[in-house]
Amino acid sequence: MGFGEFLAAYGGAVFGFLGAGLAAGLSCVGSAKGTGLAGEAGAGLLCEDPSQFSKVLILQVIPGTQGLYGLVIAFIALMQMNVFGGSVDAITVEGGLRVLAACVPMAIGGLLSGIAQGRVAAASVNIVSKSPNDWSKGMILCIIVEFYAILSLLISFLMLLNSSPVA
Amino acid sequence: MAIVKMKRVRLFGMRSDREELLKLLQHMGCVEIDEPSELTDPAWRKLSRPDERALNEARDDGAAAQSALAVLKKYAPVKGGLLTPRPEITEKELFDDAAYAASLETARTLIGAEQKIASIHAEMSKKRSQKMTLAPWLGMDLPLETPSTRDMVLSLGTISAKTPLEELTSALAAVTDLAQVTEISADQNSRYLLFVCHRSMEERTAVTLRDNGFTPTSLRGWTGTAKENDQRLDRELAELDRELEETKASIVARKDRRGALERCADRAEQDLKREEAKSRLLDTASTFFLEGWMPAESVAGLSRALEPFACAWETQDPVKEEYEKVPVKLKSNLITEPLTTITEMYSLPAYDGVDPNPLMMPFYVFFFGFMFADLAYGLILAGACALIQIRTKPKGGFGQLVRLMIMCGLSSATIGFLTGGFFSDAISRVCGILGTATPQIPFLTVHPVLDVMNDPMTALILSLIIGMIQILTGMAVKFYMLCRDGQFWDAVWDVGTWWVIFAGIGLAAAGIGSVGGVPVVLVIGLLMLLGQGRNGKGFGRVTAIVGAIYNGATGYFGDVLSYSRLMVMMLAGSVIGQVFNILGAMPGQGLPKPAALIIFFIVFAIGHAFNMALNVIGTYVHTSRLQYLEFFKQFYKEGGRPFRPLDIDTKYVDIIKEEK
Repeated sequence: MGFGEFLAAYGGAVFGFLGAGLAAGLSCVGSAKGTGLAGEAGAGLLCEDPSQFSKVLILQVIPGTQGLYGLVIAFIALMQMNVFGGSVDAITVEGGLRVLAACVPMAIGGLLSGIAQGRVAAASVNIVSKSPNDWSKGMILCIIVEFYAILSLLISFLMLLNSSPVA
Repeated sequence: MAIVKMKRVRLFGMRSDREELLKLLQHMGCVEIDEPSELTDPAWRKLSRPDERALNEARDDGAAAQSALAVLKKYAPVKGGLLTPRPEITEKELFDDAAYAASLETARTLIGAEQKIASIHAEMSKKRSQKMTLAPWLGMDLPLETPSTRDMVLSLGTISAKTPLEELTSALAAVTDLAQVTEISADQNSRYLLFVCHRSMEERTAVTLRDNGFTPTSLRGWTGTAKENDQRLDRELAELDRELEETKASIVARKDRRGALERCADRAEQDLKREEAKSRLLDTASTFFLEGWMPAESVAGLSRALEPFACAWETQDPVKEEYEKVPVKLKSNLITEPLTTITEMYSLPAYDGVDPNPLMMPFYVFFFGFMFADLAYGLILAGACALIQIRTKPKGGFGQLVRLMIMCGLSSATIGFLTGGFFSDAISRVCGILGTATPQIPFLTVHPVLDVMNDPMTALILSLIIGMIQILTGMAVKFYMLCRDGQFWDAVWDVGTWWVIFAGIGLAAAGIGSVGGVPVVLVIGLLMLLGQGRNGKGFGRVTAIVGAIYNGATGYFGDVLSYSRLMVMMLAGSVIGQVFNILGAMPGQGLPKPAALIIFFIVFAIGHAFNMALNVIGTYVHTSRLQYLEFFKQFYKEGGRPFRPLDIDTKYVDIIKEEK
């Protein structure tokens, strides 16, 4: 079996899975870094004032959404490839590449926006410590970053819906 | 629905009426007392300030009530949720002097108890550390005060636990046999030793002891054996512990005074406000002078109320130069009042600006509904906020937000119904599990007005059109403001030009109104841009025109595009909701229907709770942002100082209006 034949036989599914995997994996890395940053800052504050736990917790989970969005995109990619329908053999090479390309915005957007949002959340923990009544403003600052994760999600979603990888 | 017209008020009254008059003003709540304007006449300099004794007293009382409440919260916490209503009392009850004095007494008792607890804790930790000091010596039956005698040296000390005792004893034995070391106890770090030797050997043994790391311990001030002292300390600690519990119980026993203390704190706060206002007055021997701002509409009421007092007063409209200093109050009705929280978060309008609330209201509520669009989500949001509103009647910014969210929830529910959102696509998903046909509900399941999932382009274009409408509205307000200020031609050149250009673009796109292939209206508009150079000189005219074209084109283009977030948020909400529905339905495939439904509803509940929470915050932020950045940019003149009259503003109780 030559390389061309091999690619034609298996390439579609591999590219598709690669896309889904990157969307989920990189977004989860972004969220893990983001929640990690916020969590570290939050734990520092909780040493001094454990009563702020609920506020710190909310700030910490905000950068967790990118992982979820990545999962959603990976999931839709798998649905489009009819993975849950049983067989992946019908995916063409160009179909698989289309899925891969469609997953890229979510992968990059999720990774970087998760980290950026984590930094805002970590800085917002300072607001909780110095002026607890104004902490919702910190939350709003975090949500501004969220918008770009949502944009990544949407564009990946729209591309996936029209990728029709199964011949 | 506008910015309330203010008047400067100046008043001379008798000092004997001062307290009475200030209380009246506080009751009416319509005058903001501020510092008298600059006093040029030397005669004014002779006026003095009222003394601040009462101010400090009110401050102390307020602080006492607050600390007493903090003490109660610490030892007898209560669970008070969002839905606990505030008690309602009359103004007379709030200012009841006897109840106030009694509550202050309670407050002082509680603060005293808290101080006592602190001192008990200090005493206990001191005794515990004494016990620690004694602990190694418990095994020694010699009284601790036993002195060295003329012939014998007696010393207590420690060596490192790593040094075996034998090493020290053999070293000492090598020097003399007139010395003895006894180990009393040992722990991980040290051995605790009793050293006895003859006076003649003191110096020689001292060297040996030092070489072996012997450190003398001083237990001066103790009498009796370590054990006796230890037992005494135990007894004292038990006594302190009992005392501590008693004091705590005495605090907890006063927990039913919490309400009274809250009233007391509120009352002290009102007294403080009044005294602060008083400190801004000026006094002569028998009169006082007051200056401040009041809404023009309240003048008649104040005039009636002042009749029984011997006083002279006048009001005056502010002049243009004073506008910066005039406080701003927005006159709102039921529908526009909730928007105040959004306006205040940005900045109040300047006194000569316009009230943005009524302009913003339809857009805000519609945008929120458009982004949040879901029948179920909207009803849940409106219902939850309505419940909070009815149960607690929240005040201030939070109250406004709650009332705003009721309107936004209803708008979301309506738009959600029209666009077919009910927990995203939950209806068809559940029907899929049950194996029944999806019910045919107009709009909700069949023929929605707008199907954002399958036709996002239409939604996007609609969003941009809606955005264009809001921007044009903002420009119209700007046009109005310029005309009102007598700058009609500025309005035509700065605002009108762009209207002609927009109309020209529209007509050209539609292919209407072209003469000989030239889109006339657009060309007129572009020529009108030259008017931007009217205030420049020489080359400045050119840069002004180029700058206006660049800023205008990029600005309006960017502003309109920014409204694409309307479609984005709408789509994101339903996509994430739909994913949860799919996730919920999937594990149940092949299982019996009841099991599939249970699994579905567990995933459904968690997923939609998450999606709703995220979307409420996101939608709120983006709706506000569209107002602040895209809408206000067109016309808004900010920088107003909020009107803060001397009034009764309570935190813990609600005042029932009563006829006086």
